[in-house]
Amino acid sequence: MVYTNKNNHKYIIMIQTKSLSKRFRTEDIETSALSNVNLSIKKGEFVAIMGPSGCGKSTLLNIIGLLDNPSEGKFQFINDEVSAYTEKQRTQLRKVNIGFVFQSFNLIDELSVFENVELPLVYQKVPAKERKKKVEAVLKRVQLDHRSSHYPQQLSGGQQQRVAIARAVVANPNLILADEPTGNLDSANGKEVMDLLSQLNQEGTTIVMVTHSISDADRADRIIQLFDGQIVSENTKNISSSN
Amino acid sequence: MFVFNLKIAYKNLIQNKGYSFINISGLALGMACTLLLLLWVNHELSYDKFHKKEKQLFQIVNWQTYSGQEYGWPNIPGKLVDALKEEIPEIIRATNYNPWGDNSLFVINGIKNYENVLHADADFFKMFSFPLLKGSPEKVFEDPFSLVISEKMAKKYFGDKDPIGQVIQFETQYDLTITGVLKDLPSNSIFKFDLISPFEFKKKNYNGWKYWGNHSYSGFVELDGNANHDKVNAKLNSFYKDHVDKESTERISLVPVSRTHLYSLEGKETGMKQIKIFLIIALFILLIACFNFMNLCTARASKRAKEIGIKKAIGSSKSKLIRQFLFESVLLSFIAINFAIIMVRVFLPEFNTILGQKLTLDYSNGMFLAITFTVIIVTGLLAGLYPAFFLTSYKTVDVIKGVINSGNKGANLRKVLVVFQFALTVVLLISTITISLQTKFVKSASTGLDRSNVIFVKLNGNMIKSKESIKEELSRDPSILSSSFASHLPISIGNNGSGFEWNNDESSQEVLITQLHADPDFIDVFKTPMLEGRFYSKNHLKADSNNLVINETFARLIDKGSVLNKIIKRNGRPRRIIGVIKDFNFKSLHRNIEPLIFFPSGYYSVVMIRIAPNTNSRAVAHIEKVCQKYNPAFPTVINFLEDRYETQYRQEESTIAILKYFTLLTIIISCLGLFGLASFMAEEKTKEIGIRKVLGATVNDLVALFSKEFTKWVILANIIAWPVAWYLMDMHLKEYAFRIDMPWWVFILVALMVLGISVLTVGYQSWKSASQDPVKSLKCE
Repeated sequence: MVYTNKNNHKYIIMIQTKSLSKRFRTEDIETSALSNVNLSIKKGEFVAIMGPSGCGKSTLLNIIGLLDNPSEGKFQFINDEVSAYTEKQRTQLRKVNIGFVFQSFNLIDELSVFENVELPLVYQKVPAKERKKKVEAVLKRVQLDHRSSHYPQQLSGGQQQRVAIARAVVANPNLILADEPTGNLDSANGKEVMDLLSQLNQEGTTIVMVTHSISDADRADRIIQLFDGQIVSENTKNISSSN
Repeated sequence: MFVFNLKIAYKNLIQNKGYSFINISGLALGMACTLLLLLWVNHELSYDKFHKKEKQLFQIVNWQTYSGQEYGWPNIPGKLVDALKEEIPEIIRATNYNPWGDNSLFVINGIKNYENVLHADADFFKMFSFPLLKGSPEKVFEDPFSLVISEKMAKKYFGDKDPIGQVIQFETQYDLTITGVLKDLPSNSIFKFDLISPFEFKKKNYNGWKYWGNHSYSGFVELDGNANHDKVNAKLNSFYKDHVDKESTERISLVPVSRTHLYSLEGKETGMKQIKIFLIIALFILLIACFNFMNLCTARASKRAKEIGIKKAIGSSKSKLIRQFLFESVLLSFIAINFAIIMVRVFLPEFNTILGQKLTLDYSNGMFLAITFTVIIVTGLLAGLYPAFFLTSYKTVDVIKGVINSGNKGANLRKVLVVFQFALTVVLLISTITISLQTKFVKSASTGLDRSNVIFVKLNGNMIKSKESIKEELSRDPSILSSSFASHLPISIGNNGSGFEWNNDESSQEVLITQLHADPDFIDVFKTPMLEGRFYSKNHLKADSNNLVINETFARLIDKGSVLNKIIKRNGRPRRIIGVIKDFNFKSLHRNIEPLIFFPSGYYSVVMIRIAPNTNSRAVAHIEKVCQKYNPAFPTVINFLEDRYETQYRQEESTIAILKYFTLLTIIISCLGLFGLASFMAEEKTKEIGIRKVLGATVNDLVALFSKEFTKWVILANIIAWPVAWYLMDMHLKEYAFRIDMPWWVFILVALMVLGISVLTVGYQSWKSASQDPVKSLKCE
């Protein structure tokens, strides 16, 4: 759906949640991880989500990433109401639209760099020739084309995270979700990774990033503060809101 | 230290209940199979080794040459034993023995029954360790009209009453007095009898024993303790030439009694071959169980890496750790053996039924304890040695840093073990199916004789004299189609001889020819076609006494073309060939068809009756009535020819039954191992599964991915197993003169079966893991 803001700029809402809640239940205890979250994320936006440990950041990211369903509330993902989607439906939507970058990289040790990056394309049944082209292009982009036959254990932390980013973008997703992408990296590598993410955002990719780092959050267009499962503040930079 | 190790072992068992269950079950199953097979092997190897004079006891073997080939038989003339005792000083005792016994009519304590009675000389009880519960070895055979009965027979006919002195009637003619009661014979002996009477009785009442040409008896000798077996054999070589006939090519030799059960007279392995096969199977099964244990231990090594690293860091030596792990594997083995013994107790009765044995579990028996102890230690060490060395090889510094990755360490060996396990399973499966097919073939094969709906009755009393009347009375009932009297059942003719001459060729006299006496109705009963000429005829009885009918194989020896009207002489008497009957198998299908000659009259021992289909009850009632009329003193025993035919393949049947059970157990053990390994790999790959799911993999994608890994191993296992199975089955099939072609489709069927089983085993585990929530797998928060 296309919206117009007060500056007459048109924008598309990619993600919209309304009264979103998530509760986890064990035998004795019920924990409310998210409570009444109302959130809109525009296409092309770079959003950072911050908050103390246990405030619900990763839970919110999991729901946005279609890895989990909310307990209550509505969740629209590119015009589709997905809050009640089945696992199969979520998988289908996720593999076409979303790329993930994790704090601990989450590469598969038994696969080479090339094979790790290629994996999303395999699951989208892209033919082998086309896969090769795309993987080579994206590895060049992250400057790791010369390491394509190496294995994750043979790379440094920064290189592994760049491979993970390559994997996240190889299928040209509409949205990248990054969970503390620089959490396990030193400052130099962390800057490299953030530069990459910023570049991708400038090219039009929507990015939602969970972070503890203020300097990383500063790269975002908007910072959302979560506390005890609720949004307590949103700070937006003065940038054009239409793409 | 022992208690400390025991505590650690116990904690490991309890904390990993699933894997402990898989390990213990696999080991227990493997050990149970091994124990059962070893019980049987021990029993077979112990045949006749319990005799006190075991090393001095020998069976007399008679060697004869036909067509340039020497054959050995345990059958000797009745007077040979006495002659040997006189001439050979090294022979201190000897006994005759009629090996098949006489199925004779007894009237014991008023009860009429056919029982098998054996005859032996007085030395029998002094040579062999068959203890007498009543009577003494020196006196029981003093009177030729005496009888020794077994405990079982005494109970059967006399209950608690003392049978000594009781008189029983034998063959309606003789009175025998019971002079001894024998302890029931052990099952591990070639001797099987419940009634035994003096050979003197046979000498007094039957003349056959007097003739050197009548090889209807067996003989056993006891050599002096200092005698040299080979020197005695050398003396015996020329015994026939020196004492019977200077021109004779017959010779005799002595074979140890304790070897006769497992080896042929020529020294070839017979029963020993089956023992070796079953020992190899037992070893295979135990190996498979041990491989499972090794695989699971090494796969799960990372779970214990921390323990090992810390112990090393605080001062434990590698050898101490190795001893700890070996202790654990022997402990597991000890726990498993207890379950194994329970399984053996449960399955032993069925095992005994299949093998026709009476094996028992005797916990006080030294051999059983030795076998059990050996199985515990061998299994514990075999299974535990490699994992012990593997686990203790972790570097302390790597463990403390947390950089161990056991997923790959040892992975190649695990693959080899799984492939080897499945290769063994494939070999066993192919063997079991092929042997089953061959046995089914021999049991149902057309042997050239129609065996269906044929009853036979042994001739007793006046039946032989009333042949024509019996046939006429039998034919009065519409359920009886035809009947024929003969000397032997045509499915197992043991009567053969030489001395037949044809084409004026003296060398033809050396050819061994099987002989069957049968009346003209033989063809009607068995519907065997004639290739040339005719069979004997009721209308030409007198003329036919100078005629002969031979089989196809014999005819081909005489001439490639027609043999009608050719002459065969024996002992100077010429006879004309009037017919050639189409070949039929008169021995088991292990053997080619040999030359056969029919005589129209002579000694008949059995009447064979073709009945109309589906008239069993009526036909049996009529046959019993007729036989009782001509033989009132003897109960009529009805037998079906088809049943008798099948008993020839009893050993094959028992081998197949054992193979089937053990193949099934092998599959179960292999699947247990595969299941355990798949569970572990799924656990190890939880994170990878989560990542793949996040990236878009469906449950089906993941199940296919993991199944593919195991499928490759199973395909490799088949590639390795096929040539081995082909070789073994080719050898087995070649033991039969009549056999199926190598069933290639079985190889493919087995490959598909094993693939299917492994996919099912692994698939469940893969599906379970693939269905997990990726969030939980990745632990994002």
